[in-house]
Amino acid sequence: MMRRAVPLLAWSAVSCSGLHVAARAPHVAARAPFIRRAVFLSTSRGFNPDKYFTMERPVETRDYIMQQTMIRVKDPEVSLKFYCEVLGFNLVMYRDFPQYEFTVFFVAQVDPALIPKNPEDQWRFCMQTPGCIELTHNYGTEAVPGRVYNTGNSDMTGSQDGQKVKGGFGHLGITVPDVCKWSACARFVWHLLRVSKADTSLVRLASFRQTRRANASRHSAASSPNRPTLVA
Amino acid sequence: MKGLAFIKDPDGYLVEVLPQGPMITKPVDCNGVTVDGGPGYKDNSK
Repeated sequence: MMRRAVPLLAWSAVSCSGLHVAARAPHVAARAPFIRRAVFLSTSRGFNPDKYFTMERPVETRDYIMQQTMIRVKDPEVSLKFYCEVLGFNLVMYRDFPQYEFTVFFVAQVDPALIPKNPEDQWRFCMQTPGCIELTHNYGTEAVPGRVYNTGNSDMTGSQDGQKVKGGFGHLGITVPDVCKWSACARFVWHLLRVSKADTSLVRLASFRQTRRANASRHSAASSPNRPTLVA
Repeated sequence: MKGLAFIKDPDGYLVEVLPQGPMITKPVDCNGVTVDGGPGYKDNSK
């Protein structure tokens, strides 16, 4: 039977199963993302990816870890606040490379009590932690007006000819227990971050979080289904 | 509600937010925004 081609983003609800557990990093296993399986697409090439579900992992790769995605950020202070305060990451390691004029900050969703105190152990811990984001700051970009980096999603930042650039990068992804509850909060946080200048928005965000905590202490979890639940 | 959401980080990178369970689509989400026929969500970042 010919299957109807569907957009790539039409993920199968029933296929959102199969929890990927990072055996070598039990401290993050409980929060590891679900593997998403795309609805099989009938393409003109007739490509069927199903064999990769059951393919034996090459023995030489058994200790490999999908450890990081790197993104360049304009201002690491602002980005660290976002990833740590809005999305619940922690800084697990950072390194400065003055000879190359950049600094890297690795963030991950881990128990902060497990993050070592000294830089060498932090490096080792970081390199064994799946799903880190490496925030790379090139010196001086924080002083550049406007956007510095192209997001890959059809924007004109960095374009040489004024045309939008459709880059390879798409997005990062997190999973949450309840997207609807999350979005009720996220839209508010997102609005604060976007409509205000960074410092002002972060002050307001902090104020919002304090208010939310105060509200949370006054109301039970069931009293308001739309009560913001974002941020660990 | 299409069952997923996006947020932008300070540099404009998209962060996709997905459910850990089934992806449930609702005609009208908890913010009162309709999936079809309405303005949907507006990108306020520009």
